[in-house]
Amino acid sequence: MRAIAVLVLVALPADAFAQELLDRVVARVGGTAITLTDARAAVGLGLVEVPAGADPTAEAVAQLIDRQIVLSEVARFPQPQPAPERVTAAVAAMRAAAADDLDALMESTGFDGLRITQAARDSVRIEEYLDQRFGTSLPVSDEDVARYYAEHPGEFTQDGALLPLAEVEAEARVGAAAARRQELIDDWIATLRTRAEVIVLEP
Amino acid sequence: MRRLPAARGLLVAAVLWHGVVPPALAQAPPVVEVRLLQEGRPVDDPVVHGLIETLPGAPLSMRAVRESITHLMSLGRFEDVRVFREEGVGGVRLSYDLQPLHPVDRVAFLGTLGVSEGDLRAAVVDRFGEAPPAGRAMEVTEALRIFYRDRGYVRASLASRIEETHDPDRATMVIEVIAGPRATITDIVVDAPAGSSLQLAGTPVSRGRAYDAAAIEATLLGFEDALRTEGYYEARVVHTVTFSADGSMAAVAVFVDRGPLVEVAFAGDPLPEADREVLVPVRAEASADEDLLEDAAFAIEEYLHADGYRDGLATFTREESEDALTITFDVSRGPRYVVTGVSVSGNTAIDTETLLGLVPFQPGAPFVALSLQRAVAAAGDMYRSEGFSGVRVEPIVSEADEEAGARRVAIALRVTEGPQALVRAIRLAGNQVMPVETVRGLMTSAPGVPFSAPVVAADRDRIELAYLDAGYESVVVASRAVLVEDGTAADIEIAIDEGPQTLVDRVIVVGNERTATDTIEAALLLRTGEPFGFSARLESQRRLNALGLFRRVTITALGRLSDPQRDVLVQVEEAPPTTLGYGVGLEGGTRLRPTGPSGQAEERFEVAPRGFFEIGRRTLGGKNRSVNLFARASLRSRDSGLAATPDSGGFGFNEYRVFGTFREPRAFSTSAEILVTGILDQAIRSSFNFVTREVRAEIGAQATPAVTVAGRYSYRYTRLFDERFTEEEKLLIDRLFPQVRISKFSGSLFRDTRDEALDPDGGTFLGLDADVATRAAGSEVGFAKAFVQAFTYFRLPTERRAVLALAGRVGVAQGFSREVPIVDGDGRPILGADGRPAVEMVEDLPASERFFAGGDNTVRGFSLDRLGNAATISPSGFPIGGNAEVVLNAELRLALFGPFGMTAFLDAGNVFPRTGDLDLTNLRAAAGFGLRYQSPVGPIRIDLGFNLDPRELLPDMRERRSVLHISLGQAF
Repeated sequence: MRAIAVLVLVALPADAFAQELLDRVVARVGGTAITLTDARAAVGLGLVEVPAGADPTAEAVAQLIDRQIVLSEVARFPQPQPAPERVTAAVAAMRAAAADDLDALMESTGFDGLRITQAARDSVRIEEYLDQRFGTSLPVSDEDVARYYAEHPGEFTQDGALLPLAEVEAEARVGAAAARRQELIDDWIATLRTRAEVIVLEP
Repeated sequence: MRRLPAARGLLVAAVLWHGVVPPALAQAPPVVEVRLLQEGRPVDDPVVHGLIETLPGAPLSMRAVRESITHLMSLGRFEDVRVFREEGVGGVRLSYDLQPLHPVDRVAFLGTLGVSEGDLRAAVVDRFGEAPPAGRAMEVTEALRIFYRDRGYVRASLASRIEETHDPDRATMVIEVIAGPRATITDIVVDAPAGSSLQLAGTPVSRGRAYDAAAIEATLLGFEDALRTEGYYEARVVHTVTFSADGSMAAVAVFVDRGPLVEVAFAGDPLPEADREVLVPVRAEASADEDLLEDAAFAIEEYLHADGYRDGLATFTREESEDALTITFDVSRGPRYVVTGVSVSGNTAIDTETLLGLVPFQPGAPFVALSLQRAVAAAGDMYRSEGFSGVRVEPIVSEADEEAGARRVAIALRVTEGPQALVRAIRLAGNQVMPVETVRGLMTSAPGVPFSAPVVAADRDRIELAYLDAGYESVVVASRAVLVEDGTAADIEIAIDEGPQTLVDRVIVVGNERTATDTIEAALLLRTGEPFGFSARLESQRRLNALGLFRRVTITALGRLSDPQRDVLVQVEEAPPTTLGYGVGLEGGTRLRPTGPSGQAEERFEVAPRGFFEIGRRTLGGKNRSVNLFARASLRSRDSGLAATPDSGGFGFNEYRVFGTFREPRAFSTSAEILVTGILDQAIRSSFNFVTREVRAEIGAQATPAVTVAGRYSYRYTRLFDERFTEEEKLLIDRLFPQVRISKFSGSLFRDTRDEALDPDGGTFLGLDADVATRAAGSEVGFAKAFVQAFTYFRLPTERRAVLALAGRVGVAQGFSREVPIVDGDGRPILGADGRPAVEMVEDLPASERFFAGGDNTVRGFSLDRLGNAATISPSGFPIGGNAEVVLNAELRLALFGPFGMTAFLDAGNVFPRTGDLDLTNLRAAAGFGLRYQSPVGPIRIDLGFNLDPRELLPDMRERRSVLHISLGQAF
């Protein structure tokens, strides 16, 4: 008997006994678990932005936590359903993000078409909620515009030369307004996060 | 900051992605083994195994892996679930590594605490509960740091840590304390106005005492209260503390701000003394701030307006001197207005009587402008609900002459109805899953019926609820109505934004140890694959609570990231399986005793101690079944002077009742409840005592929320003893059957719409009971019996609670004739003149089945069972009972103050020997009054009833004029 066991062990490939982690919980937000495959799918489908050099999983988990917190807040207030064409566009964007890897991505993460549509719908709902709550374009002062221009020279440099503010004021104003809006959203999410029960598990 | 969301401007991370995707599962190898491990040990919990979707033999699916993790996390028992795969022979082996949560169930304090552990624990429990979450350890530590500082331990060192324990998986929050030195009060500075009597010696604010903020504040609060009692309503006495650098000394500064001496005065028209304190609660609130005074002035005006002084005004002034504040309320009542009459004009669609019914003024009543405004609004609403959207109702108040110091006003409602709008069309938009006919069926509005905005709003709510019940959690239903054709028609538009449907994935039941899961599932209306419906969730919760098996039930839908399916977690906390109850008390009432000169009945007020004991066991066999044993006994004397019990008369447990019950609600998976009861009963009645042994089986069901039906069979053996009437006075049946076996079938029908069972304000109770006992079914005597009762309650429109309660009870019975051979003392048949055994015809009911009346729940001018006439009361004064009875009651229940109330009642009724003798013109009346005390277990009742027509039923023995009753619960 022992001989047979030894024979079987020898016959198996070298990595036969190596355990491979398929999935796990990486964070909990209230009663909702965020799994490793959620994070992988979010990266693959472009649901989250991963800055260059950042750990994609850690970045995805952090953004999915915020996303879940915001979704919980969105669900508290009834609002019109997202327009089907916007959801369709968001699905298309996600599919495009995954490109040729879509099938493998879906298979390896357990995501199916229904979940992708639901994720797209959630994204649109969040966008619409944020637009409704924070507006699409905030008024900014000339000082804000000048500060933005000074802090983001790369956006206003052409052929190695920084364009004068007077020439790019309109673009700088749009950028300053967007930055201001994002700042407000960040503060809001930070407040929500202090009220939420968030547990991030050690990797 | 991360940008949310990123459906646009996506950063395609394909490169990164390739680094983290596991090897392709394109081949989808079969799962050959699934193992569940918790901290290295195999898991054998079937609930946990039942949640795994990666089944051996099936191809490995990441979707199934994810689903399994989600289900497992739904249990709320795991911190993390990790799923590993490894190659096995013929496929892959999956291993679920379950890492349990370790909830804190204990807080431990270690080190040199300085204060008692009990105080520390109380400080934690007050703010964080018995088991604070591990994540709040830092907050707990900070809260205790403040606690220590307030106790004078300025340099206390605190640190917390979580220590996990296993099997069961729990954790202890350990707080390490080094209290350090406690500060002693070394210096006290008092800043108080001259004349303040602040005696600090011997209080916690004394030199040499350990600093204790809470004790000092309590002491200073006492001084503050004393100042307020003297009229310094704005007094404040506070302290500050400064600790030395090493934390060993505390310098305390006490600051007394006495504020002005406040005096409240009234000028102008008088206000009743008793109402002043209520209207101007400066003393009660210990405050004279501007807001309170403004509220008081407003309250005075409201008070005046409610009494017809519609121009009543109240203002106040503050006069401050050096150390005093005088607040003067100047009250100007103005003339009093009383209503002479109310009229309505311009109305055609709604009749005048209906509109007048909305105006709460009778001629002579004080005129209250607010009440008139409400009536006008109600009239407008009534018109609008009939489609008159443009209706105008104007109140016209005309002053007439003055009479007896009051100005008389006539009220007229002038109605301009405008056109009536009928619904012309209803347009639905956006309903994809719900057909038009279904949506229309939910609406009351329909083409051709009067348009009403409130009705349309209600329609909208019903449609939304229907969608919510179908699992469309984010549905939005909007309604809009447009008046067209000069306001005579309305087009209604209902726009439905359905959103996605949420379906139930798994229903996970946790927390049940004794209760079978299928018992819980049977009560649930939420099932796998069905919509997560709003009403289904509420009804499931209600049903589980109604089982009576659980202390707490929560039903939670667990959200998932971007997934329209939900696991439903049903968490139950089981109630203790064994219940125990016991109690003792006193019972007082008037009883009949054979203490007259020749053994005639005399009424005596008696008090008897009584007690009960109850033990129950529920969740038998994991089902919603229970058994209960109840025993009650009274320590009461038996009659003295009875020939049958010459040595009796002492106290003993002469009245007792023991019954055991088996109960199974929702029997046979229906809404019916089965009840099997065994009873052993011995009771002292007015005319006899009896012992009963009975077995009863009953099945009942709630036909509608208000209607209950029940059918039962009972087999009972009753033996009479200590009969007070003589052999000659006995009915034939009592002579022939001093002990009787009765086998009977009964049916009951109840309709109960009372708003409360113990002390209702409104609603009705209707009950019908019918019994049939036959010799064919094993009964020694046969009879048919019916009892109808109806109670109704009306809350009267008075400021204090006043309820008019009316009751009517009628019972009729008919014995089935039976020939019984006459026997001698030795039991041998006595022969008649024809040589055959002599027989007697029996058609009465046995004593235990006859009707008796009189007492605290029927006609209260009579003692227990003493209601009747010469035909139903024996010559010695003891009731025989009858085959028919009528009891009518009217009672006015008034709230007095706090838990006290009073009643006035009028009762009437009688007991008749035969059903044919029943005569509603031959009723005996009683009236009286009573007091009520609303105790936590129901109203305690003391009633004094007066017999309005005492009769001399026995020579020289007139019935008592009054009878006192003390009992629990309302009379009906």
